[in-house]
Amino acid sequence: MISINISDLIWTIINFLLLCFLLNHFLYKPVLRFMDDRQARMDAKLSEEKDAREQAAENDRRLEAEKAKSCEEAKRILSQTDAEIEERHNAALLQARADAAKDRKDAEADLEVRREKTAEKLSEAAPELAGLLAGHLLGKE
Amino acid sequence: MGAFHYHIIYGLINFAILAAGLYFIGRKLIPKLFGGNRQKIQDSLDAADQAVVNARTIRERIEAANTRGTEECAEILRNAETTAGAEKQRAEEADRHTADSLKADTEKEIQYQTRTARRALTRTALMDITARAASLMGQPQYQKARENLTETLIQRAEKELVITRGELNAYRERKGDVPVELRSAEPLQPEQVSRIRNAVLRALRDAGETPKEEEISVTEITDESLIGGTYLRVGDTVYDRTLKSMLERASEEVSILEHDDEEMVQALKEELRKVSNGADIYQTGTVSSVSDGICRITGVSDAMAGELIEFNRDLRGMVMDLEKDNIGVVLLGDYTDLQEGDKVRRSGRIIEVPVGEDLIGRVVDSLGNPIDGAGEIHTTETRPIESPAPGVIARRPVSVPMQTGIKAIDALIPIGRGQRELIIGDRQTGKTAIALDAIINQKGKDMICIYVAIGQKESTVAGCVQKLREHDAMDYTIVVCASASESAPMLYIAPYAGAAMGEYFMHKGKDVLIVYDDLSKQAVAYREISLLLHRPPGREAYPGDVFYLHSRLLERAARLGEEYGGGSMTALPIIETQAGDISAYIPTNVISITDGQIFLETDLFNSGVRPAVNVGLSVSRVGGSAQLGAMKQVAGRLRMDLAQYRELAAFSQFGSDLDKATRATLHRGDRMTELLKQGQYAPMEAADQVISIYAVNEGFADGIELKQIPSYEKGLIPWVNGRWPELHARINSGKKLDDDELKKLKALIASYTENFQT
Repeated sequence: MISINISDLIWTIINFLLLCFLLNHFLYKPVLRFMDDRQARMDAKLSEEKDAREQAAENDRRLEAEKAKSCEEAKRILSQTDAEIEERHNAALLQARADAAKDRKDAEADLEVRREKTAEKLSEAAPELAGLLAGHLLGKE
Repeated sequence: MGAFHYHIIYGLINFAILAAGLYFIGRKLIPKLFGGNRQKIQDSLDAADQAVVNARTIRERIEAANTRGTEECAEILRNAETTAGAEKQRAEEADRHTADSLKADTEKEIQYQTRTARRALTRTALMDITARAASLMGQPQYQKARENLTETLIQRAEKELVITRGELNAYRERKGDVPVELRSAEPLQPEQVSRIRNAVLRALRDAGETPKEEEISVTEITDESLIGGTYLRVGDTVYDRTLKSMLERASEEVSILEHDDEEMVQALKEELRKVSNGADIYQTGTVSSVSDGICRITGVSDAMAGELIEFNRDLRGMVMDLEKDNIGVVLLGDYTDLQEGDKVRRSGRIIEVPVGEDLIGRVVDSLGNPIDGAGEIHTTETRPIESPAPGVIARRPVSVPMQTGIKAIDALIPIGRGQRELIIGDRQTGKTAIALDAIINQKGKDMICIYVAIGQKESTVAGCVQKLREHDAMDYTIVVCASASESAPMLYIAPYAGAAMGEYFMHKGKDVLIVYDDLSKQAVAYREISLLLHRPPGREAYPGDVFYLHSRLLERAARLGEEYGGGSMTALPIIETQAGDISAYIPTNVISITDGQIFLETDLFNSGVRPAVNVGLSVSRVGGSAQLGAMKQVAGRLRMDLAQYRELAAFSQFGSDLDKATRATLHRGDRMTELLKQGQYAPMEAADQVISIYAVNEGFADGIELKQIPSYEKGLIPWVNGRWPELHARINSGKKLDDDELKKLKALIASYTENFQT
């Protein structure tokens, strides 16, 4: 006949509890700890890659900004140059026109003096030249 | 053994059984249950390891990008400074050039004013001198000398008087009547009149006639204003040995321009000694009718076709029609005061125009008279407007390019020096724009340009001249203007006048570019003249020789051999079509004469393709012989590629799915068509064209948006030129680019494209 031995039952329960305790302390917890550590390491590595990507994107943005700044600076240099060129050109043109106007004026004044002198000379020589022409037209075949 | 020991042994057995049971049951079950999870864990571990590697790679890339970025920024600033430096240098040179040009213009103006003043002084002095001489010669002490003039004329008539063929015919027509007119300041002796009559009789006998003395009717007129000497007219021929005409000739013959003021009196003495004092022999005629710019003249029996006829008050005419008893003369000027009965005079010369360097920079009419208000033109030479074209032996093949600066033309329809290339299209399609751009592009290329405006509005011509001045093109250009308000004869002779001016330079070994804008209007003017001269009309009412009108003009454009000077004249005639009809009479005539045509289409123009060149219908019969080696290299297959593109573009309009190759062709063709568009008054250097076309042809622009192509091109050229300044000289030497040079060019274009895209 089957009978329940209370003392065996109690020892079995104690045995089981002791086993559970030992398994929990020496197996279950270390294994979980190991798994957690492993997961943490994996997460850390993945996080490192994510950080690196974010850093790369941030760096790209920074480089774009610097490049845009350089382009702006280049544009500024070129537009400043254009402005300088325009200013120099206007000044040079003004000077050239002023010089040309002065030369023209001087030349016109000189021309007028010479014209009057020459007209006077021609007028004085006119009778002689008329005589020369008349003689030439009448004198030869 | 006690119960305790049984418990321990049972416990141990229990434990062993449990352990064995767990082992044997779980050995396969546990891996089966946890295997998948293990793979997942392994994958996660691998992914984590890979993430570390990726992170390392990304960090390395960051470092490289930082280095590259720093270099690029420095490069951008360096380029900007280099470009700024180059721009400053170019601007300084341009300013120096402007100042030098202004100075040169001022000097020219001063010289011109000096010459004009000297000319005015000479004229005034001459008027005074001739008036004094006239007064002097009329005095009694010169009576004998004056009579001697008549005596020498009569002696000369007795020896040399001849009856010309025209007068002989007139004599026969009149059945034996020869009118003789004698004018003198003092009445002639009967014996002198008799000697004249005998001289005429002798001349008629020498001509094979048997005249009677009563056929010679002599009219004697005494005119004191002649001062001295005698005026003899036999039929139409005049023998003028009067002092009055000698003095008038003296005023015309004497010209002093080059002498200093100090030497002017002495120079005038020398010129007066050289004045002709012999008889002035010429033929006269009488105006019998004037209408619609055509004048009929009787007399001038020996007039030549194309001869210049002189009317009074500076009016000139050209002989166009020779008939039995009169000649038809087209009037070249204002004939409002011309009346029936007015006397005219043969010049003995075929109509001619002044030619020379002094015409450069001026706007003149068809007779070479200045119309730009900048004063007289002092030339010493003239050329007849009609002259024979150079013969076969005098020519050599066209092999030197004439760059128009327009990509579509220089790449696909190249023009050479000495070629005739027709520009044909409807109104407002950009024909004149192409011609003007070609002229503007000749700056610094040692080419004389002539723009002949025929039948255009004066406002349009003024606009063209203004544009040429803005681009400094008038420094080497002559503008011949026969505007819409001029008479038909002026429009008719304008192209020939331009050709004569061009031939002067061509025969001196220079290169000339002449634009006839446009020949359609010249044909219409010629039609008008021919109809007024009652010549029979042909097709479209044009006279039968309208082909010859253009062929003899365009044949004068040629490239001469070295032994004939080595010069050339390149002609760009323009023809206006109606509704794109290039099969009409005049267009087909001129197409058959020229060495190719540039056909401009209205549809292309309206769709924004400018210049609106229809590449399919346009051709240059000289072709690659007139292209730089590098241009031929890059544009060699361009024509075929564009033809293929046009076909596929038409096909793709049906909307069917297209294969990859077709899409690529269309994509490339769109970009090339966009590249070939060009703004007005913005001609490009040949080397720059080679760079642009090469870039697009090799596919570098395939990734560029269509609307960005102009800015892509704009940045590409200074990029390449700044990094390879020797490329221009290399391309302009005419040789092809070798493989290394092509590789270098590709690398430069690639780096620019990458920069452009980012």
